[in-house]
Amino acid sequence: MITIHIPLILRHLSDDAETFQVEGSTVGQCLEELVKAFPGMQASIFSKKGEIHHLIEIFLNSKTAHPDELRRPTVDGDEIHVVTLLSGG
Amino acid sequence: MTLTKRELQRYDRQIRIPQIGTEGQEKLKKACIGIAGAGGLGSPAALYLCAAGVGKLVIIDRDIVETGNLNRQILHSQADEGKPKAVSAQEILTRLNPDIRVEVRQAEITPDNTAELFSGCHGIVDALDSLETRYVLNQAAMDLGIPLFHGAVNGFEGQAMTVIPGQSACLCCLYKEPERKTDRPLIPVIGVTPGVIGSVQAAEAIKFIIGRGNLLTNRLLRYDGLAMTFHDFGINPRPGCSHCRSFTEGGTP
Ligand SMILES: [Zn+2]
Repeated sequence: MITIHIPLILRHLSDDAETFQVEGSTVGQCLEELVKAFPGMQASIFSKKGEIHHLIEIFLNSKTAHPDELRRPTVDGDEIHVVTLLSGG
Repeated sequence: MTLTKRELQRYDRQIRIPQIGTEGQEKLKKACIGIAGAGGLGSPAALYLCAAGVGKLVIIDRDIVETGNLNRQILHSQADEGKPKAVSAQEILTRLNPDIRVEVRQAEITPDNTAELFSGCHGIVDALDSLETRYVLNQAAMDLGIPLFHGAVNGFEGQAMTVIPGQSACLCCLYKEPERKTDRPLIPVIGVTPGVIGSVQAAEAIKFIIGRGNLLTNRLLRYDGLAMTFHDFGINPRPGCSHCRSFTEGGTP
């Protein structure tokens, strides 16, 4: 299983769940499973072109997965953090 | 720059920290830090840098104090409503520590004035509330060759990262493209969040000045006040970044 950490800003879409467990062999597949479970996240995580939204950063095992996030291979036990970059002061 | 008797008294408890000592305290006294924004992040950052004895603070804010600022912007009080934030910031900081110099400017930060606003500063605290101006500040830090202590908040969440020009990923490496003018809703925030992040930014500035510890370079620190967790993530300088291009392409910035 791969654990996806959901950012606080999107947790109202996951019934406040901080993490979600998925199966998938790439970051893209894992995130697809996430938005299948919580369709409301699609527009926040992905751009209209289906790429990662420019204010979302994906970390695989605490390291940035940029660029080519969606094609990064994942293995059992991996952790994906979906992070919304903040701009408030 | 030797410390006066009153300064030795004032800073006694931090001079006792082995990594600071009188040598570190003298470095703090000689230092000048710019603070871009006297709002939610700028308030705790300025208060702690002032209390710690950073010799000169340069604070830039264009705004006027409004009642709606006061849940988080602890430099300002109800009685300051209608005053420029720069003025109320200077008043409270001078009262807190009359042994340092506090210069303030009521100005908007633009590409044309950053060199002048931050001239003489050894580092800049990014305490802004828009990504657009953060890009201007990031470019200014690159041009001046001084570190940028970044922080940002939203609700119970916050983040911090330190940028050392020519050495670590910059804000443009992180955000990749500027915010569009259209997507700037009023950002919700509870004061404790910028309280935490502004303090982290002040700690980074202090560590940079005294030259001790590990800075948040190539690391994005994230704070989740509801889960009450801190997590730091690895960030890479981005090849092709328009702000630190020459560095990421192997040259000198
Ligand atoms: Zn960069």
